[in-house]
Amino acid sequence: MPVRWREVGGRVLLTNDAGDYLWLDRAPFEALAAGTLKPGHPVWAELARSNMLHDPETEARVVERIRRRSGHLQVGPTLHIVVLTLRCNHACTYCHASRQPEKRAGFDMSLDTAARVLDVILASPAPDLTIEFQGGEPALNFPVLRWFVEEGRRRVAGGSRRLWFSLVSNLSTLTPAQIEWLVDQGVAVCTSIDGPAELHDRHRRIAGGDSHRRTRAAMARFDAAYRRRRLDPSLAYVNALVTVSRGSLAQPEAIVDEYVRMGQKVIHLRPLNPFGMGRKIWAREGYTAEEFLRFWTRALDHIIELNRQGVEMAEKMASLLLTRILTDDNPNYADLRSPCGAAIGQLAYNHDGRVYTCDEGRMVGAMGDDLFCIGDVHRHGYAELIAHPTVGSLCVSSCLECLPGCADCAYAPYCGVCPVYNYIEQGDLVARPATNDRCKMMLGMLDYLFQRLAEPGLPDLFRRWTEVRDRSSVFEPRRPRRPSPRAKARPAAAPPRRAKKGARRA
Amino acid sequence: MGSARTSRRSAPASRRSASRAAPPALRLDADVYTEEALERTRRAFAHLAAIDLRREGKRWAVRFSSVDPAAAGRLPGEFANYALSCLMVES
Amino acid sequence: MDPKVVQKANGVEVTLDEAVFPRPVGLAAAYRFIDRCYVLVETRPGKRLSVRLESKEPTAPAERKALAGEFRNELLHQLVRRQVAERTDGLRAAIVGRALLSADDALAAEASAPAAASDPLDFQDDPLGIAVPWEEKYGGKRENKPKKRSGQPKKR
Ligand code: SF4
Ligand code: SF4
Repeated sequence: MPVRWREVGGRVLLTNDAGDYLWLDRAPFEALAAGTLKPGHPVWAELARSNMLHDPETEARVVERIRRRSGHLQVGPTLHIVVLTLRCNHACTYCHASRQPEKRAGFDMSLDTAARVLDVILASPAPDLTIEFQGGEPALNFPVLRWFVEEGRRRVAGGSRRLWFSLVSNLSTLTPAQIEWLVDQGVAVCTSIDGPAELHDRHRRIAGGDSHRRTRAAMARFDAAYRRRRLDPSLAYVNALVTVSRGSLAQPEAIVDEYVRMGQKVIHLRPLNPFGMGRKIWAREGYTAEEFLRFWTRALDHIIELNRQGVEMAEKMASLLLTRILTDDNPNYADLRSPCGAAIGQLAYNHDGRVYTCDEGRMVGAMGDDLFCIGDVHRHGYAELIAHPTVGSLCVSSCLECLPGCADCAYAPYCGVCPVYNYIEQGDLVARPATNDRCKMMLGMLDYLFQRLAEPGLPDLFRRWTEVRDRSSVFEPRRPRRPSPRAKARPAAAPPRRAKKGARRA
Repeated sequence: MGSARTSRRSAPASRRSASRAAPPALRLDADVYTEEALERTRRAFAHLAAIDLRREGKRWAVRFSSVDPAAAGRLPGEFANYALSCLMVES
Repeated sequence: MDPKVVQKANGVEVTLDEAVFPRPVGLAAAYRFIDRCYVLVETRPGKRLSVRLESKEPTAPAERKALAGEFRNELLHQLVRRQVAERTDGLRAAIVGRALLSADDALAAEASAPAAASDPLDFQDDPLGIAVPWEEKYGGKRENKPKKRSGQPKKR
């Protein structure tokens, strides 16, 4: 079998296309490379067990597993990011160029645009579709959000397709009635908590300076609403994630501890990305790959220690990578697949109807460069959007089995590349891995995980991080809904069809 | 060898009086730069100058006149760069 | 064999052996510098190619040295990129073709039509012409119309 290798911590890691891996000491590896390792050598049996040797049976097994690991090549765009408004009541220190002040007019998605966006989404061939509301602060355009949910459910009623909704929000503008409605409708909710109040409020600025308190209060209201409906609290909760800015780098432990206090079981330590951000902001808030890796590994050390003390907590990026390493499951995460999810896994719809390959492409558009714009819902249908040459070009430039550096990298079976990042950082859709900070981050994270996987006890813990519980039952509408008075302009929503429980990972 | 060819275009009327000392002619290797790439470039730069494109032996001679004063200093260099990007699309 | 570098007034001239760095590699590397340099490419006797990079801003000698170094790195990247692309041509066609088909209902239907079903995608199939560089396929201005694609997979 074709194998790739990498030296990590003085030993050699071999991997194959099905994601199997094996550690070898230097001497047997050199014998293997020189072709002098013979059957009967103890390492020979290990190589066979790990599917590194070529024989027809192994090949058939490996091909089947590769098919499973490449499940994302079968489904089409499942994630549809709808930017309901560019307005926001926050002015975060690391925010992107497109954000508009809360009171400024002209930056909300209209009902007419929304109707065309929904037409495009429903023309996508994927059987399960997720509509993710983003902004700005999407809750500031609640009537259109509401229309999407009601009209979307009405349109799929009686068919075999399933439609899911999620809201990415700072939660601070939501009224109690809106929270109840979101819970009733089974809209999944994700918010940002950057760490302890002092750190969070320093970066996530809002009039009154109390963003942390307001977001936490809204999370508590969601929790209460879930409890009142007797939903399993281990499934029904508001997801939160951390945007790691320069100010976070010194306090990974404090950030993790804040998530433990919040009762979260997963923390997503998301590096800041340079898309759509002015150079000045990046100079103030950004950092190098090495600085991020020091932060991330300290956080992981702390999380592992907490797990040893009985606290249940995982880090999202580590969980995704471990899923690729330890299982043949496919989390279908846009940035960790080959080709990446741009357009073929997700689409992003700007408030004005312009369509982008992904939200990151939209952010580049906000900087005045529409390279990743593939059309406009007012002029183009789904088939035209997908036929845009940029879609094929992003596929080719993120097919990492065929890219310089990646094609021969031991981490290719687990990794993913981002052409938008490469374009912004290196002026080309194709990465120069040796000088690419994103590649350095991937290498650093994977080196760390593989080294820790070699420690006693940790494979069991890491395996638990890959177990994803099915939360779909929580994200179904809870009871027949009355048509919304705000949605009068459109046909009233029919009573919802209860979606069957599925294997969706929320 | 293509035959010698002239493709002069007059400059936009607004700039006829603005013509200053024209930048020097650009000589490009005909073994590298295709006629198609140079024609596309000429069309793309037509709003900045009148551009005369001629084959002279193994080279293309590109001469500029009626040049937009704001672009004069950079014109030959940007012309060559644009022609190179057209080659990339062709290759 | 090694690219030869000569410092010029405000830039560098690098001369390459086209037997080592084929012309498309030299052109692709040169192209990467057009944002900060004026670039001129010329042939030289003995199958050699000269690339002149003249900085758009004034440069110090150390910057010119760095410019030459960056150009050589870029040459190497483009050379490896070309070799990997050639080596993985069929694989790319299969993976990317499959990924695009998944997103396009009409194409997926074409691909699963009876003729295609008995002739499943293999690494040599390239129904969408993925192995053809996209600049070649779509060169020139983008039209916002679906591209007409042939119904039958074509063998490369
Ligand atoms: S991005 Fe870097 S770590 Fe990932 S496969 Fe490519 S070379 Fe390897
Ligand atoms: S281009 Fe980058 S951000 Fe967009 S889907 Fe691909 S990996 Fe993700």
